[in-house]
Amino acid sequence: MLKSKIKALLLSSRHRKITRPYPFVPVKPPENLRGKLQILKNKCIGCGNCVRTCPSRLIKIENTSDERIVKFSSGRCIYCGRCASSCPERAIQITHEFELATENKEDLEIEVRLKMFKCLQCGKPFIVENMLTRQIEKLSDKSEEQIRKLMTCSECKRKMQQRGD
Amino acid sequence: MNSLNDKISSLAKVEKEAENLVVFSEASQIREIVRLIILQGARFIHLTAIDFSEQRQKIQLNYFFLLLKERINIILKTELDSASPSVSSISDIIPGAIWAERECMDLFGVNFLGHPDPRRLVLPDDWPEDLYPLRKNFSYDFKPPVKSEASVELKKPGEGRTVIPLGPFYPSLEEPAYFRLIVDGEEIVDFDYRGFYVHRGIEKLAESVLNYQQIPFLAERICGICGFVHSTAYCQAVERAGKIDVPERAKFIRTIFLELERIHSHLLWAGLAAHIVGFDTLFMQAWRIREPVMQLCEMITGNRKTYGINIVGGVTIDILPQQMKDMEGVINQIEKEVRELREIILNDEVIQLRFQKVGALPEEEAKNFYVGGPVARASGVEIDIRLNFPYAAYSEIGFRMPIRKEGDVWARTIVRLEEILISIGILRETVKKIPEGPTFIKFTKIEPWQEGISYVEAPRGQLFHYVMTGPDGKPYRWSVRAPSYQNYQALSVLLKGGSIADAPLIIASIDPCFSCTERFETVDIKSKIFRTYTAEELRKCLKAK
Repeated sequence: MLKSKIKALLLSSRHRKITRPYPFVPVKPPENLRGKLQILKNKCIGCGNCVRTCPSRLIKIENTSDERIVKFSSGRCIYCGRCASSCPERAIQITHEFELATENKEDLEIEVRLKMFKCLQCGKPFIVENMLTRQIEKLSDKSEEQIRKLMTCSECKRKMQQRGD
Repeated sequence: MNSLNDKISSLAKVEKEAENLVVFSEASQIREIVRLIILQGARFIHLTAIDFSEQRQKIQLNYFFLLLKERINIILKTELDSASPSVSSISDIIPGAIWAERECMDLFGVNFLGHPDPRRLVLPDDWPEDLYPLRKNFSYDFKPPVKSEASVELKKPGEGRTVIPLGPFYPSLEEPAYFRLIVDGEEIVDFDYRGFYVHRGIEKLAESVLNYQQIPFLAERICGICGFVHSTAYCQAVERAGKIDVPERAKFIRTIFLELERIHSHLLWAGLAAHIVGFDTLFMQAWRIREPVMQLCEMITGNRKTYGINIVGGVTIDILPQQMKDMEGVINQIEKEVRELREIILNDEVIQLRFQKVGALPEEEAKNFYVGGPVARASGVEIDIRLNFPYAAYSEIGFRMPIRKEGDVWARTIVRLEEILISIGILRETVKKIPEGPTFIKFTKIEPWQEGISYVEAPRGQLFHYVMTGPDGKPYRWSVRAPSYQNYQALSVLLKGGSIADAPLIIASIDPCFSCTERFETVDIKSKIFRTYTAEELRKCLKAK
């Protein structure tokens, strides 16, 4: 009986204290840690891909008269990183920041306000400005006519076609 | 197999589809067919319902069986009128079906005639009558009014007997469950269980608002220790239903994490068992040995637990060559230390006295309740889904199954310690054989009304997930049966005849997982007793004093 106890004693005496002195000494997070979300506001085109992929359903899109607001209630975030991998513009980034405890829930709200572009014909806001810029960049034929087409909302485009312009 | 087919086809319509044998039966024939299937040596897996009230005013009952030798799933289906669904109970033929039938009563309102114990199982005591949360006309965010006379129906002790309550907050595992031991002197003669306090309505949430690729992350959160088995089982079920061929490398990566999880889960259990009998040195050391596994997982996936890498079609990460090397280093170290730990545990006379001949589960009873995992293997039942029904990369890896005949706590300890070493062997082979290639395959559309069944050998036993695909990009029905669900039901056998002092150890010896068992609570309980106080209110209370 004693033999086993002596072995247990030897086992535990071989190992010194392994508890880390955190938080007095900071801990370096591992390379792949998925921490707080960071949104690059000037890159977001407001496409809504992240809204559809988020398992916690914490991303909401609201449209006001001249703005599209993308809201992240990141207090409910599970740090899966699916939004970042679904973002076509890499506007969502996963940082290494993990010390997120707060007394105020609103500290964890992230809001991205995107300006809407107004249709050249009717003046109705119809596309996020960043999205329009990307579309113009992608145009192979950057003639003024093509650009004007992109700056017109689908309704006005249809009306123009009907009129035969 | 053919003989079964012949016998059943005289009673019901049979369809064969890949590895599934689907039997459509009349409700009146159920008992007869179940008897036939059991006679063929099939294991009862689960019983659940699917609501087709909107389509054809029917509730479809699905009985799942598994023919291990032939590797065939049997799905026995019968349709009941959704206005008053009722069918005769099979609990006297299969004692392991008692809970599954009670669950269907609670969540679908199916009446099982002749059920030996038709009390509530899943729903809270103050849940109103005639409100069935898993029916499709019940909205996932609906909060029903609280029933005014909430009563707890519990077993009454007989003459000269006393009740010893363990719970509702279970002391040694720090989780909510209420065990009522009915004792005669020191001896436990009967036992009652009331749990499902952490039932969170996960299945309802998934069926109502989440899509195929969002659910793996919810599934992984079913368990706080072995969550990866749930996301793997769910993804495999959808992949089978949608006929998605997962790349080989993804299968190997899943295998690696499943085995890492088994190692850390068994070490956690070994520590807890030592802690329960007061051997805290071993508790600390077992958990210290476990720590490098957690850190290894954190290094590769970014998380110690809940890796968040499983999606339908594969995994989201790849393991780099350097990480493979680190893994080998970690498992070499753990192997050495686990051997040492095993020697200490097995040679300790106090542990021997506490564990041997305590909480015995005879092979016969183990088969009756269809228990799985180390609990079954310690009672002489040869079942390991990794070998019997290979999934992920297990078909390409050879290993043995540790079997003990005694069925007591001691045997379960030996089996688990043995399995840690076997898992280390599996990991070595997986790392050697892992092929190069992609880790994820894109899929376009999943056809509706397809069925997928998937098993995973979780550290606690046989895990079962069932998915029926739906028309709008999400499952129509997703059902989970955790291994502890079956193992719990065998507790009535394990505890009877034991002494009060052994009860915590016996309960812990099945390595129960409360949150897995109770996977789906429907609404927040707002009873009259519990309420949340704001900081302001608490301050006022203090001032008043």
